[in-house]
Amino acid sequence: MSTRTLESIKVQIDEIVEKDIVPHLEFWEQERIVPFHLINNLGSKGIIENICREPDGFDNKLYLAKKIGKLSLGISSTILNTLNIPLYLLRNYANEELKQKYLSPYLQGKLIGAVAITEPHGGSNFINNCETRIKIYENHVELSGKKHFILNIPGADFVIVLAKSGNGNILSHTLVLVPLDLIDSNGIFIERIQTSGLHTAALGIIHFNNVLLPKEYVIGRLHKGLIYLENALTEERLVGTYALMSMTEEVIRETYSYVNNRPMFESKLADLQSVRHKLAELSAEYEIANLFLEDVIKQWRAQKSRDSSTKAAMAKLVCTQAALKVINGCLQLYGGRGFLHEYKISRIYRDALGSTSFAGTLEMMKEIISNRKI
Amino acid sequence: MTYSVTHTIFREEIKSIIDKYIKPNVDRWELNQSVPRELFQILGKENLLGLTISRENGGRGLDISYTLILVEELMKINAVGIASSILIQLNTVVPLLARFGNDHIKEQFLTPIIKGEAIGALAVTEPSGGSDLLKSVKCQAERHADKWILNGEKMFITNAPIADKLVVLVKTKNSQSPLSMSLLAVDTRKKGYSVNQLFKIGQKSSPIGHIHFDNYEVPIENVIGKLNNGYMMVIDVLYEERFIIGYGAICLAKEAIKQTINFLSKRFYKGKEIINYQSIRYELAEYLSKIEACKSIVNAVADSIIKGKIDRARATIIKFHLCEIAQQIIQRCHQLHGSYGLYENSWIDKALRDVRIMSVYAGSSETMKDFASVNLIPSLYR
Repeated sequence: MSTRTLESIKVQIDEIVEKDIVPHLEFWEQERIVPFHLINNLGSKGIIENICREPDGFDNKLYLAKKIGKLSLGISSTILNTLNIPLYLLRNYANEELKQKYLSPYLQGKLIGAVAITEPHGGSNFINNCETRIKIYENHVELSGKKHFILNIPGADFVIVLAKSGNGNILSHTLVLVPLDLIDSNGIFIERIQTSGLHTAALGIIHFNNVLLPKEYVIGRLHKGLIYLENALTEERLVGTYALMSMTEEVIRETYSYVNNRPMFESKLADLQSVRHKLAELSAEYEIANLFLEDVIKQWRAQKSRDSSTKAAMAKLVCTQAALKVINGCLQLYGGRGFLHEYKISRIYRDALGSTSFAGTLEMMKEIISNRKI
Repeated sequence: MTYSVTHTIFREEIKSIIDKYIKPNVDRWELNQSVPRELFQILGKENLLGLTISRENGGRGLDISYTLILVEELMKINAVGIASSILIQLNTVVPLLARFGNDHIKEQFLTPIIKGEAIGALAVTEPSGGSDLLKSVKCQAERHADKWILNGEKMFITNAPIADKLVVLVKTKNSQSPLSMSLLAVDTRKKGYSVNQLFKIGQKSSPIGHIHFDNYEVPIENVIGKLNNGYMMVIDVLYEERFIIGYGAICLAKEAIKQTINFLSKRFYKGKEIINYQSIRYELAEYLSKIEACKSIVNAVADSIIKGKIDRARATIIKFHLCEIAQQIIQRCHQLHGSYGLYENSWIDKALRDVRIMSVYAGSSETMKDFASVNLIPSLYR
């Protein structure tokens, strides 16, 4: 029974990919359209609900990341961002009222969520650099500040905001859900950022000017925001990296096929020793990183320990570096064509540049690793 | 691949043997430019020279994961040359004799080698070339009545200067087909055999030699496995050896990082321990991550060996990529030791010299890529 559901979810994911994404992909990328409606498609087929359900849910989420990741890093960012942190926070820490109002429609794909952590003056270093403040009153809270580089903004129906609520370090941040249906009239102002890549993902800035919210919109307990985010961020790193590695594998596959078909010096590119060796080196980078990621994901799922979150930082570092090396190296093998819009590699190259800073820059990963291992 | 209690017990056993017999002698053997015969006698007595071959053949019947433990522990004490001398027997000579040898060969060659009464070596490479075996093997065996007559040279042969028994790859058919070579089990103590030791910059305790056969007589029954099948047999064990070498390289690099962290915790720059500078910390964090990552591919290939069919593509990746990563890391660790790295035979000096050959022997990175890039690696993406 359970295998049948598992397979049918995967079949449904395949169907969405083939029917709802592949035929439109190039158009969306070209016109910079963010296909938020895909969330609705996923929800209406029960996929969002399924990925929350263990034991198969996480596998199915990875499957989704793999399938969409190899098509477009923009779309995978949009979808995975929706399915990762906002959903995790709603499910695990929201009160019943919020769950009723937001979680149920969310599972059906009727709502899009976002999570706002990064600010103009700092991203991963949110312990010290969080300037967005939340004031707590008896029945309501008041939010002021600015969040930057927020995925799914504009587009999301609500955003969960990390704001400083105390003066200490770890236990002084609170998460609050902010509905975005009353934009502008309510002290909320949103802009979309023009990014060089990831054109099928929305990235935005969001301002809060003394926004008043009922106290029930606080997620979980006051001042515990960072604690709640810790596991969610690790998981987001892993799932996002998984999508990136899926794309990397696809790039290698397509490049092998390209060099085997491209004529060169009375033969073809693939027959040149320098090309063969280069691709062998790039494949090595990918194989090592990818096998590591798979092991780390296994360990993370089994333990959710500090050690496994350190390994997740290592995996994000190693995999992102490998992916960039592979994508950059493969673009070179395409010659001038690698620079043309009509070749997918040009888009992937631009999109991949974003992956070095998503969910923590590579430097932040080194910070985490060196603090824990040296 | 998962490690069990048996692995932990084995590791403890290995550690105590290493502490007792090897660690106190590393410097002396380096200075002597050779491991002594006693090393093999001791390992033979502990039954460590037949780790992965069956009990019927006198071995321990363990899988490759135990060899990995032995390698790791030897690298931890920076005994790279010693490891090379041991591993050439453990991973090539012994498995070839055990898998393919007839009863006579098992009795005359395998048993004394496993017991540590005789030292073995694998003689494949020649002055004209190494990994390119089909073209480069010129050493020839001709059949005369009930004997093979051997003529030719073998070069860069680990353990050759001290070896009593050799497994030699020779041409037995005049063609360049893969089915033109055979493996012979050869005693070294007769007329017509000579060997010169070659002296090198690293891995000094593993002696290597240049062998000459001059109308050297070998009994007819000393053919290992099927006649003319030698190349195929060698290729198989070479993949395992390459895999082990790649693993050894990253174990050494891991230890080098540890040494560097310790060293930099006691060195100061502008009144602050060097290890507390961000550029140093980030660089080392990157290396720690790379080494950690390499373990997964090693485990995947180890699994494939245990299941009976080595993953050749990834084993080759391990050889050419992990050795290069290890070299880069150890070179940087040497740099981070500052002038202290210049001390002859300091830990990091020795590691740097010793790791250098790892991307060369048992198939250079270049030949590895050349072999694997035609079919082996591309087939992973078809």
